[in-house]
Amino acid sequence: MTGQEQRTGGYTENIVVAETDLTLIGRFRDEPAPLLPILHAFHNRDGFIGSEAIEAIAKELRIPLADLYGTVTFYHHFARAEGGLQRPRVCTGPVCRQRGALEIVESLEGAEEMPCAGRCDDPVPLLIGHETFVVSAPLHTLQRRISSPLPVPNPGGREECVFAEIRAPERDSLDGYRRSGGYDALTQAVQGQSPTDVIDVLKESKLAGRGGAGFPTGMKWQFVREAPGEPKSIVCNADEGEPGCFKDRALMDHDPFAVIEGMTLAGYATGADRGFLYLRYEYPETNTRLEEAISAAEEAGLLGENILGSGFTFRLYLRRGAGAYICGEEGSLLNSLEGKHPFPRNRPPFPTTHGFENLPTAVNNVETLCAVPQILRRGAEWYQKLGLGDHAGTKLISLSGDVQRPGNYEVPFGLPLRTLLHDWAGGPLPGRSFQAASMAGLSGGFLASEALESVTLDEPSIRGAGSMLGAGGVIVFDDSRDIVDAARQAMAFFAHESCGKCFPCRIGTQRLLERLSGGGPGELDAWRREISDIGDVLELSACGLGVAAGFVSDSLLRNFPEQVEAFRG
Amino acid sequence: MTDNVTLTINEKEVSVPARTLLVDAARMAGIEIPVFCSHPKLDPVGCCRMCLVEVDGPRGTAMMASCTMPVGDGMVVRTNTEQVQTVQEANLAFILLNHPLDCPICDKGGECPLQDQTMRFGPGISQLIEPKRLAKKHYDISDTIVLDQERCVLCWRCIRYLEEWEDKPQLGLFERGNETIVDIQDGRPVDAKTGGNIIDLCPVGALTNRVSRFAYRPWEIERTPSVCMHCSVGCNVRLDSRTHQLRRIVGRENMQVNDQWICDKGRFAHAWVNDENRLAAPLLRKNGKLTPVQWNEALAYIADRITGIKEKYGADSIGAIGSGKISNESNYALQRFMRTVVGTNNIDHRDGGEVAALPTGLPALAELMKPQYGPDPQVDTVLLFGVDPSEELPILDLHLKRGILRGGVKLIIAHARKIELTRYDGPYLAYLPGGESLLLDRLIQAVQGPGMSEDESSIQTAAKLLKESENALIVYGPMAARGDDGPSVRDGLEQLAQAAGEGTRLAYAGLDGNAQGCRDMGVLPDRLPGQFPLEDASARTRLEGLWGCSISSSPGYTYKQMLDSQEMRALFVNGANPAAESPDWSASLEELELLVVTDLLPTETAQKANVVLPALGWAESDGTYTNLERRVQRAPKAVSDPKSRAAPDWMMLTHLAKQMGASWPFSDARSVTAEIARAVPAYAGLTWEALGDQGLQWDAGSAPATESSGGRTSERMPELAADNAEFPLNLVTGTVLYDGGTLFSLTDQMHGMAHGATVTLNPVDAAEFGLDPGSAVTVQSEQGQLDLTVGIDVQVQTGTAWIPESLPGAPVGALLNGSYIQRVKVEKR
Repeated sequence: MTGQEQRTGGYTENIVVAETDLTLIGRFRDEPAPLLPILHAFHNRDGFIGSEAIEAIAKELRIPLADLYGTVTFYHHFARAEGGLQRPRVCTGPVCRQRGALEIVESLEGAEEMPCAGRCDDPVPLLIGHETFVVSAPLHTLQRRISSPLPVPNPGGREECVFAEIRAPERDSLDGYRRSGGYDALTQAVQGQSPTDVIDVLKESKLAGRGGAGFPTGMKWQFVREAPGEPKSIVCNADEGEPGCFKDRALMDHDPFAVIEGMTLAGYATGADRGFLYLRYEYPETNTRLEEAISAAEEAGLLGENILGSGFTFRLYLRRGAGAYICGEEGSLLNSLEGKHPFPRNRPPFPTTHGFENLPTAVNNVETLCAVPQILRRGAEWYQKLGLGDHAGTKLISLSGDVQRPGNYEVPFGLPLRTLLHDWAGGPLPGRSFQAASMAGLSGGFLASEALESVTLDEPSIRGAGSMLGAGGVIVFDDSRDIVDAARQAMAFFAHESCGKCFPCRIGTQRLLERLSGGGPGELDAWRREISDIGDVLELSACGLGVAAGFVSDSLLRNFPEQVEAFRG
Repeated sequence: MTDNVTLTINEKEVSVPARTLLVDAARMAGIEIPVFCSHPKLDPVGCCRMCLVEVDGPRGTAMMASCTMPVGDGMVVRTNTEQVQTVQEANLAFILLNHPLDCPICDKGGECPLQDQTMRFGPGISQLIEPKRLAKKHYDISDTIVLDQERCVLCWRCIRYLEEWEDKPQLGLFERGNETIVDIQDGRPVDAKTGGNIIDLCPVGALTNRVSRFAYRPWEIERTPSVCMHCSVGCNVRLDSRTHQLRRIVGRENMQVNDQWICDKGRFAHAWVNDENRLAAPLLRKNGKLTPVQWNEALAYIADRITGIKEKYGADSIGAIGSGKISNESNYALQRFMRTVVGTNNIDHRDGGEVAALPTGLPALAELMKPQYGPDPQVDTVLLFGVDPSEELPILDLHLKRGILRGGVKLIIAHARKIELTRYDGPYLAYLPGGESLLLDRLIQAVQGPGMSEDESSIQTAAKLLKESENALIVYGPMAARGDDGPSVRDGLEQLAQAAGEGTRLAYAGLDGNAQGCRDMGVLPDRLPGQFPLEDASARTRLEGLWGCSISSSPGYTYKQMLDSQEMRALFVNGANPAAESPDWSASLEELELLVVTDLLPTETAQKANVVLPALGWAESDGTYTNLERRVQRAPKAVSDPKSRAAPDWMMLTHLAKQMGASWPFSDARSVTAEIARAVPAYAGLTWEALGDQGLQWDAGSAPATESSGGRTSERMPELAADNAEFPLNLVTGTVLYDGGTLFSLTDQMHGMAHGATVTLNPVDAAEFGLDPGSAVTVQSEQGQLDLTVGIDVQVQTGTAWIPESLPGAPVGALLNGSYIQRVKVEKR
């Protein structure tokens, strides 16, 4: 089929790598997790990732060509054609679609759609190269956006944890951060607390994973601390890919040192000496801000060797994703960091024992890590009592969609959802009423208006209503919206983002999308039955993505029978 | 002792080793759990979800993937509930939705796990009606493998095999979600030497065999267990035949030899069996032309001529060349004919008497293997000396790679070429052809030298590895120990093994399929069956008793001597082709009074013969073969051509012996095997029944002790002149898997894979001589010249020119002309 010259024999030895490429690769090759920064370096330099770049990287990092090519094709933001980096990519997530994102795509030459870019509290964002612009339909001028909107002071007057100091002057600079209590916790820890003391405080505080899984943070750190194998790692999951979630971006934009201090404390508590902050691609300005913050912390002796003169060493590496929702799943994220195909991993074993490079690793969400310095400063009991009733602590809710005042709110666990919607966020838009809200971004499916009145913001209550709180994204749909179409869009998102590894999700999301787009049997009951059957199979998926897709279709059938009937009628 | 874990599957208590996967535990208990992605020889991935079962846990019953879940003590598992069945049916309905269902024209049809599982676990009727996913239909991903992406269910067994075993992931998963495909990257073919195994692994018809495409339906073929003859590993294979034709070869499991893997040459290169040019009748030269005759006429002619020549010139004017490519029975009969009927020890084979070999081969392949579930290899360090498993012994290559990647094996390579296995970063010790002894001296010195050395050179690293090892194995091949310097190299290697310490063993690995058996049968000028030296009187007496005649004790000519000598008058050549090796030999064969060639095909040597006898090949006759770890294995007759009058060698020789007055007790191949078991003490008891379908290793303890040549002289061959202005490059040659040999080149589909007629140079030398890839050049030595094109590869040492043996139409013998070492120059044509 091919000539002798194309036969590689598995070798890349005879590939000649240009001097300039070697320099580019050389900048990161000795760091841990070098592939993503190297791919970005080529992508930024060339405007796309071409076959010569792939060959050069494959040879130098000793990654098989087909593996590397497969990995590159997995990420939708890596352009594979010349000039691809500069093509405008418009967010067509569920909230932006409410605001005319599709019209913007049509009216902007060469524009492409991209999944939710995490700016649901802003006008429709678009990315050109590494710059974010926002625009309102119909298309007027593009406006450059550097930062996220600052969270408003708590409308309910509740005491906050992660937002407690975020509005302090110059909080995003190292000086401003230290002036408002920043690095007190780390100083106190390295000078007066043993790692197990830190873990004990967190255990007592009942802080749990705020990325959605809700695993007790103290216990996770203890597992990592006790797991054999070194070096250990801390991974901050800042791949905030869930549509309708934008809380981590606000934290990193306005309080970048809190994440860094949280990770450093995690390193101290677990015995890890390296950390990776895995940031989603769609936050280029946040990436710059974090780079600056990390340099500032390094210069001040707050990162690197011998932190605060304590002999404790912790290096932090910023790693940028390239467009793949699945990388928010911790197994995929670890594979992505390691330069592998970003498929979820089988569990067990868990990252606490077999994480980054199969060594003990704590993977924590941005919000969780930001809470840690506050809890250590103010005490476990203080944090616990922030919750209402039996619930401990607070949760950030990214509220967006058809509501008067969208934005990030820090709520006490147990707060009635209606209080947030009506009292804090101003209720529906004039002349409208709430029809539905999606929970956990899109992953929790849709709650109908009755449930919005009755549930409280905590997992047990929302699970009781057949949904989940997850990472805390809530998208509101008022009575002007077509909820079946919203479900179809959600399914299109899951089908686009399904990694393709496990059969139920790969095939099931596609089949549900076809049905929600009008396919399937004509008879309503048969149609419903098929959707429900496919949803059952999706529950067998290897990770949460497929399970969430089933939540969406199931919640549509269960909570919106009239809308469904109208759609099929 | 392994800890056992007891669990309950379907109310049945099962005890299995800890860490067993649930799916395997169920299999051990006789309970089948359907799978697509899971495979007992590959790492689990858990992607198809076909194997979900109910597992009771602290938080209630959950559906778990049994292929990724290790067993736990007290685990309660159910595989037969309604929920499990629902899941299986739903999953199959999903897979079938996208599957093209073109079973009638699919080669997998009839032996397809997807068909079988649909039958057994499927829903019967699927409610779902969809447009099928459209993807790229049948296209070649290599010269031998066809991929149909529509049939692919994305289990990635193929990808995992290439990654976990071959360490050459040439297939990848590209794109994402519903768009996900398995494909090669940028048109680069799957050229891993054992890539064809992915066809056997594919659970659907996505990957099919291009050579056997549409040549069979699985339910119509006859399956014969056999062993592969392409190299000395002796992989177990199955020959699938129909209507007298060999249709397909697949791998067969033998955990002592090849696990279940075979190489692509063994799998695909079998067209020669049914080639239209196969010799089908005896040919006798009449009026200068080879003419078909009856067997009687041909044999009577030979008997008459041999008798005459023997009377006129003596028995030692007659010689025979056997072959490592033919069976023990054929080789045994040939040497018995020469020693008893003709009365000479002029019997040898290529890589025979000219090579300083050792008698017992590798200790055991299993000591080098790392199966998916099993302990690490016993051997912890391997030194390959002048052997290139990637080109010569592909499944040994596979075992070594696996041992390095997963079994902690350390590899040291000494070779004239930077062979493929050097990619594992073990110390690479380069030498020039003829410089083997010199390298060994330095290595022995380093091993014997003081423990701590600042020197970080490869020699020092290699010496350190050997010294630190507890169970090292040094393997050398014929290329490193041929000719006058051979014994000195072998002695040097023995000295090295001794110096490296107690756990170090030395082994010689022949390369041809039956190289070991050929030696065991005594197809050597100075060794009798059982490899006993001629001067061993008791061995001679025993054989004289068995054969009922006396045996000459004077050593015969070696292969090379027979071909070089002017005194030879008659020569039997069985399964060898010396005419293609050297222009001088080609000429001297014509000077013989009688040349009898027994072969499968009209080779260059056969063209010069007075008599050509058509032989049956390995697929067509019963025979035993002995692999490189001296495992004797059976290859039963699998096909027969009713139109052919070809016969097995032992039968021709039996008749010839009879013509010449000797009566041999051979009625069939089995009776020859039975006599071998008497003639070769180590083969005692190795009957066909005892060999079974997995073969038996003969006891290394019963081999005659090797006589060492004693103290090595420090006298070396003179170092090759470093600066030879006229011929600036050292010629490096050796075997490549895909060469121009007939056993390979007759398979048309593989032509594109053949090594081109190239001389490969290091980029530095190519630049110096102003040569580009593809330049047409003439390579000259003092012996002759050859027209080739230039290839450039950093793996070739500077100062050397790499020209493999047996290139199509470009015999390197033209430059060597029977010698082993030459210097060459390369000039543009």
